[in-house]
Amino acid sequence: MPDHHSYQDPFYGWTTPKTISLCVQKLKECNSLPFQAIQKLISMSEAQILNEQASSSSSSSLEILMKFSKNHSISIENLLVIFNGFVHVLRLALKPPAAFLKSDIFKDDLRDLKFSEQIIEGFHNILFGTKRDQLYNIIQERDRPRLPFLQSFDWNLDVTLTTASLSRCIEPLLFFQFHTTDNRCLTFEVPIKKFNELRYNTALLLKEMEEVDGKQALKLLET
Amino acid sequence: MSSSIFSDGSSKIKTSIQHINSLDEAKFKKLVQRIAEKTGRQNETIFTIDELNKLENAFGLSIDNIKQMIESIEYMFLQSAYHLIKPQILENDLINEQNFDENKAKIFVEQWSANAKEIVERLKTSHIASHSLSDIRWTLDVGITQGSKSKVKRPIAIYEFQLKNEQTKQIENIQTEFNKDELYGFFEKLESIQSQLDTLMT
Repeated sequence: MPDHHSYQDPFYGWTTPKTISLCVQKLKECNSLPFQAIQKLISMSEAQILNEQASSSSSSSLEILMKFSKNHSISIENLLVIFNGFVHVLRLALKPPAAFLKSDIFKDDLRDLKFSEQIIEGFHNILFGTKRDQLYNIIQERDRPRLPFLQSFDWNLDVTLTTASLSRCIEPLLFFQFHTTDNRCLTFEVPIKKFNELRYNTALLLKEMEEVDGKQALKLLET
Repeated sequence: MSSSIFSDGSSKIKTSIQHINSLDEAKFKKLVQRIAEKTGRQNETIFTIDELNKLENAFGLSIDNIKQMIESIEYMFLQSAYHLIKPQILENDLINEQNFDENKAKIFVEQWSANAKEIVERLKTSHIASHSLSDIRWTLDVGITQGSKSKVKRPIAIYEFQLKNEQTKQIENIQTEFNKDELYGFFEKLESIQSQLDTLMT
């Protein structure tokens, strides 16, 4: 079986990123750090990406690192370098589409980086474990620039019966209230004609969106 | 109706009616026509200063009297629209209650019949909300790569809602983006509004 190096680049790119090489170097230097602590660092790096609180006692990652630094008498800078390296490995692994990351090849690449077997196991469990979909989802949806989008959309359909200028009117009156993610609350009236245009255009957009999958040029992006 | 639909303002328009009755008929017809075209439009003056000066010369009346006359004619149109009055009743009202000259009354009623639909339409659709949706623009983009992920295929709809501030007539552009699920949710809400509109109209 041909070595995967001949047909696939390692997940971390063409050259070892400095962050990771520093991390490995520090790991070698700080061999007083027990594996349990390393395990904790690995799970913290996962939490870092997921942006959750590291533990129920809600101590931030920095506090945990300071605790390790004191307990195992390793400088905080070294711990930060190691932690940073772990997070970087995860980010790089999550970058290509999910199907590209094969289990064995991933482990092989990590061996090339000179991580210990236990650490490799730890990374592998994170990337192919229970939170796999969540991780990929977050990387794609959260970590990109986004225009404001609608948080909530309320509407009022009233009927105008009489006005100051007309004693018998009977006109429908449509009000929208948009709450957008940039904390704006927009209340505005929608003339019925514009509402019909809006509805038509939205339907058209949805149809175009469905057709995106079939477009020739985009077939190159099949993952 | 035994009392005129203009009874609320009859004292104001009395002097104007005297001026109207003394006007030349062709000129009166043109005047009424012009006023009928502009009645009900928001924030628009019916005659500019120059035009008012020309009218002063044409009618031989002072500017104040002309302004009053224009206001009275507009008021009469607005009252007719308010009550959605029938032409015959309007004619009787003008002649019997308001002492309108017969020919002038006929001219006025003629203009009312011709323009009633438009005037009412304009009054119906005039907005009093502070903002209203004046236009919608959209694009469909597809994200193909980003900093955190090397290969994606992500269709994104970007809407630009143009809101017009009724007071200042300024347009505010609100840009929002929707991914596929959000767009579906939005569309479903629009559909439910439409079904409500349909039940309302039947």
